[in-house]
Amino acid sequence: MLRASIEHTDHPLHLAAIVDATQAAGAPGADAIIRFTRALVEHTDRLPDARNELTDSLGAAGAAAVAGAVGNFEMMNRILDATGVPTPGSMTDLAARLRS
Amino acid sequence: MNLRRSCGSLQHVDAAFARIGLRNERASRVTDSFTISESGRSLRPSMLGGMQREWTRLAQPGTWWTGAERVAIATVARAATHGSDAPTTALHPAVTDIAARVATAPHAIDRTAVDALVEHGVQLEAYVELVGITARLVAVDTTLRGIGSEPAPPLPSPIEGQPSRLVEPAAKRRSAHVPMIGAAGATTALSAVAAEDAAQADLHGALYLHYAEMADLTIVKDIPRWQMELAATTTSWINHCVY
Repeated sequence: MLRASIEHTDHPLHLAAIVDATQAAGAPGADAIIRFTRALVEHTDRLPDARNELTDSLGAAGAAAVAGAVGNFEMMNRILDATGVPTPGSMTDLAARLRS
Repeated sequence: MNLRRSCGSLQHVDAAFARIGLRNERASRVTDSFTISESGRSLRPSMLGGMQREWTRLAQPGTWWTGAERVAIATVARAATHGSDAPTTALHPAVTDIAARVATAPHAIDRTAVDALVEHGVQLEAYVELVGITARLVAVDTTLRGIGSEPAPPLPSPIEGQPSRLVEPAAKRRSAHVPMIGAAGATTALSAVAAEDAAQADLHGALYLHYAEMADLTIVKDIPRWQMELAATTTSWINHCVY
């Protein structure tokens, strides 16, 4: 969904920034979203600073929308994993590599 | 005869309204317990409403657990996400253990772990409800911590009553750990328990997108779709969720 939705914008997005904190994502607000999400999901003490950076970038309502998206996927990840929904067949190899 | 029947019907309607009123009064007490800080003003009203409805649902008897058991499961899940010891509850230790695992390491749960729970007398459908309760509790707590509304709101006081024990005969256990209606997927994962399936859809729509909005790659809900998806992808990466 990320790859498909970014195609509907004029912004380049460097996806490697999601897995490598030393790289810049490029698109507006993207680095702030990644840093905030990491701090929130990983329960780090960087959360207040990351929240301030995100709010400066997207505004208070935008930051709340990001928090809601993170909250929703914290829910969906748990539901999918705990109920054992299998990875789609076309993704099996990639999933194995990601897990390793 | 007709009059008597009519009066009987009216009495029945009055009694029904009285029950609805009582239920609404209880629901409002639960909603009132959902207190958040000033930072909650940044939330869309629909986000806040979705979380309030979740508190109301959490307190009520479910399909396989009582209201007290549902709140106890949420208590265990919240403690686990904080890294605290499991609180003392009336839940079976195996239930406490699996609720903590769903909250903190769901990717490590395999079919063997679910089968072990069944050997302790917990039905698969009850496990499905436990997963839903735990996952939604984490969703609400994460969202509120994200906006800086801390401490987390107190969990609601449970409402008395018995679980409905409503069985979904169409749900079958196939490739997934639990029974589902139709092919296993994000929108069918909890379908063995209709109320949990509906609760997932409700909170999903409030915090992120309604299922009907999912195909719209240009939708804007305070932020554009790609920014929502960037947060979603980063979350899933950290959680090792490769679905």
